[in-house]
Amino acid sequence: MWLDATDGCCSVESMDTIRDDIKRIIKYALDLGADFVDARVESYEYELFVYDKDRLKEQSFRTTRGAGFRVVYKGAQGYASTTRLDVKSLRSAVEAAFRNARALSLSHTRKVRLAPYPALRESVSSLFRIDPFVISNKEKIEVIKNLVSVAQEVKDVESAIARLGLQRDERLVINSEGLEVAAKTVLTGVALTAVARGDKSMEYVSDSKSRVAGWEFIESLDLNSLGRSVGELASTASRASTPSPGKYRVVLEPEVVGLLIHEALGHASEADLVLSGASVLQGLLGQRIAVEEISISDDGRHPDGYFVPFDDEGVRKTKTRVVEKGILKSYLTGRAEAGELGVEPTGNSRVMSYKDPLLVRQTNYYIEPGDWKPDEILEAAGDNSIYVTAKGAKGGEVDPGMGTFTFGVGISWTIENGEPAKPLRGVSIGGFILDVLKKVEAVGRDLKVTTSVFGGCGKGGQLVRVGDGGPHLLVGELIVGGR
Amino acid sequence: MESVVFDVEKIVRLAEKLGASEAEVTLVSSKSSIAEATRNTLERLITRRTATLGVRVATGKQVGAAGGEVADASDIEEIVRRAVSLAKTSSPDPNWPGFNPIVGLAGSSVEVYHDATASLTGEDLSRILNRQVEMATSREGVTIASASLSAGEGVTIIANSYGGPVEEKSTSTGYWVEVKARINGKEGTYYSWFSSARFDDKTVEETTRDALARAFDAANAVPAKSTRGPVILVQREAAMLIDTLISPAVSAYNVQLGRSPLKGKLGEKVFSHSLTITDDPFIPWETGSGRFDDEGHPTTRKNIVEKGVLKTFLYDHYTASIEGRESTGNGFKFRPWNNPSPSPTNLVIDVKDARSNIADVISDIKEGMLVASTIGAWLSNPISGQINATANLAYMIRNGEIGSPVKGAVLGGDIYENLGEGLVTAAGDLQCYHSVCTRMLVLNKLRVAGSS
Repeated sequence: MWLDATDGCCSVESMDTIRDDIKRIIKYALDLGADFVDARVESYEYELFVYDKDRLKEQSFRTTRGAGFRVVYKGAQGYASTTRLDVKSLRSAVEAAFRNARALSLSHTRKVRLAPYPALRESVSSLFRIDPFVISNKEKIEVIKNLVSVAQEVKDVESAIARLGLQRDERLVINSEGLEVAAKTVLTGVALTAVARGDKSMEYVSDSKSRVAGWEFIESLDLNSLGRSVGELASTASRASTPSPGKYRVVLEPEVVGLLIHEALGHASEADLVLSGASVLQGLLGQRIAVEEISISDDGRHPDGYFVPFDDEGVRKTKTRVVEKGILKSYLTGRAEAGELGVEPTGNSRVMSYKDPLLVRQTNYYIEPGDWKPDEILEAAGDNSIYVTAKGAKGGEVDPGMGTFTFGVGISWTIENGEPAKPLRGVSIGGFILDVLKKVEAVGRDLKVTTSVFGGCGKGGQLVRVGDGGPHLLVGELIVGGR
Repeated sequence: MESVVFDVEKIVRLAEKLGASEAEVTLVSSKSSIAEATRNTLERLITRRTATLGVRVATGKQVGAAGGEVADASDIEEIVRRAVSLAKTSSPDPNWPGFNPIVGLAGSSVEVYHDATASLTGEDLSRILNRQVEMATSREGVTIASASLSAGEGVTIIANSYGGPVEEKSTSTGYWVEVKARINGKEGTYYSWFSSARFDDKTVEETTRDALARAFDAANAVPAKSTRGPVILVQREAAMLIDTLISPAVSAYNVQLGRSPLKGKLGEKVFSHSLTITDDPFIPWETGSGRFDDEGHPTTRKNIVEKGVLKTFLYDHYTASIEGRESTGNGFKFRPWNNPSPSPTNLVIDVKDARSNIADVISDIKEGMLVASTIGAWLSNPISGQINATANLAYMIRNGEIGSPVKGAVLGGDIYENLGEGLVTAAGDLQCYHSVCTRMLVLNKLRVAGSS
């Protein structure tokens, strides 16, 4: 899927001109007395088209460009950044980062110790065939206008909103140990929300399709089918009932599994939270936290997820097996957390943009597939169970310290005779992280991983793109709240 | 460090010169420092300084926008050129009314710039944060899992082809702390925070003390049982629900497109007769306060709901022109280059005959729950009005007394029902979170699904 540019096929050229300046500035910071310096340079472009009911509501372009420095001085970390990429501004930024680190070193500060990591020199780009930024605006607008039109033809649908998003993100990391890594990612996607007024309620259903790819991804989609299905689901939802709150046996479709595993376990496995005591997984390494059928991975290069070939410290991000056959095997780490834990970094130290501090983040977090066919799982669930699906889901939230999580999921269904039967609207699910994974009774073989050009994961005020997923799951007991 | 400021009128003229028939320019320039601590020690100190430009232009009835962080004139020109180019290839909007023609400041003044907050340095923040860590960890069994203290200042400048520039300097500060407590072999965590335009030591300390006390309760919390009695939402949780469910519902944009349960209900009783909701941009130091909105239109104070009756929706220039009226000064943008959308400044929730003391309310409740903290309230559905939240710390109420702490209860219900016949009363002091100022709300139409 990915082109490795070490052979010169796809160097991230726009970053080339600044490399020498950054290296000089890093040397300057070392001369000031810094023990370690790394720089993150970013060039980001985003185009958004929004068609709402009967008009083009928004057509916008956003650009971000700048450089941020982290300086480590006597174990204290200082950060500063600049939008100006001339030598004078870069020098001024690194001086500010140095001053911050030095000021902090005088206080009661924990000394950071970065895990050793080789001085990689690589440049990688995601694969795309047609640059989405060169497609005419007329063609882009046509895509979302048609989506809206198709959805609004469906009975009960009062209005629809379609979005088209295009992202190009180029990142360069250089550090004082000689590491020099660049990555470029192009992400493309569409989203559609339909609002319907039925006899029971006004409801909305959303669906989105994004992929690390160029315009060829949009061309590959059956947009008419997407528009119709979202409209029809919204209509169905507006005529559906809400479930009675309580505990249910549930079947979770892959998109819901992705949400659940990202929120319910992914955050708790982030080593910064573990080390600070804000994770229920603290102290559980090597212990059983799930049934044996559950294995969980975080993979920055999953072909259907977001492309994170390196993290923002320049550490190569490959597949990390977090849970193996129910046993917690690894936390997600950056160099600082790995240094403290005495392990190798897993490549999960990420930033939203060049001016933000590093945090441990997931990349593409998912449950590995099992043996069950989805229809076997629905049959095994039995009557009075609920089939929980994601279309219309708003996302979720977790308290990794307390172990509680909650999601607003999409239109869902009662299960009768092994098949989805009556629709349910306003469904939410919640529970305790460590309970749910021990109540999984069947794991499907149908792994699905997705990402989104319209959203991501928030932590510490920073939003980063992620992917998540899994196969169908049967969970013996989950709290379902009717919204 | 000085904030970066460019001449926005010149940028408007540049857009017109490049082919725009009209233009609107927003510049947000800010600088800030953030001190962060984890595990009882300071972790890092961050300084930031950014200038963000948003340019919206129209060529006739075709509209385009571009924006981003800017460092110099070439960045600005690139953004303006991109906006004009997008507009020229856009599809016309037959309802396009032009940019806001009334650019100016509200008559009332508002306190949003605090000298002492602006002068806080990174070293100051580190020292203050360290003091909080020392205070909290002097109690046995306590760990500050993470904490962050920020302060900064900024300026917002707006001009368009018809007026301006208008300019407002403001300060901001934010503090959050996550405390972990261990007691008798049990552990609990609690997260508390505040944000304001004015820094003060006392609020920081109260926030830390609140997190400390609640963290010990969280350690003792047991899975909640289902209950159907009255539910008391503390101010922060009540504010979150109102921000998620009511703010979008009173937006004229959602009303005009049929996405609000309040469509067609102007002049009707939509809530309890004891409830009045005011949009107030002039509350000192609140995060939603200001003398103009993101279109440069003067802000105004108005009652949205008066004694339960819906009096007005909130309008930006576009939605106002659809109905042939003037903007209410509620055109706010997510980012400077986005289209505005009507949203509140600060919402003030006033319940007639609110009790000053929550204990008086609790003493009347035979069975119920006091919810101190939730996750996922933002997942509630503003189109249907349905509430969704999971209480990660609550207290059972039995026979007029606060009982043991519980966790894991899923809250559901309808916000209109709960603020209508389900609104029992309000109690406690008025506090502001998410630009919503409210007392604790006592609701008796919430469903509580327990986890035990």
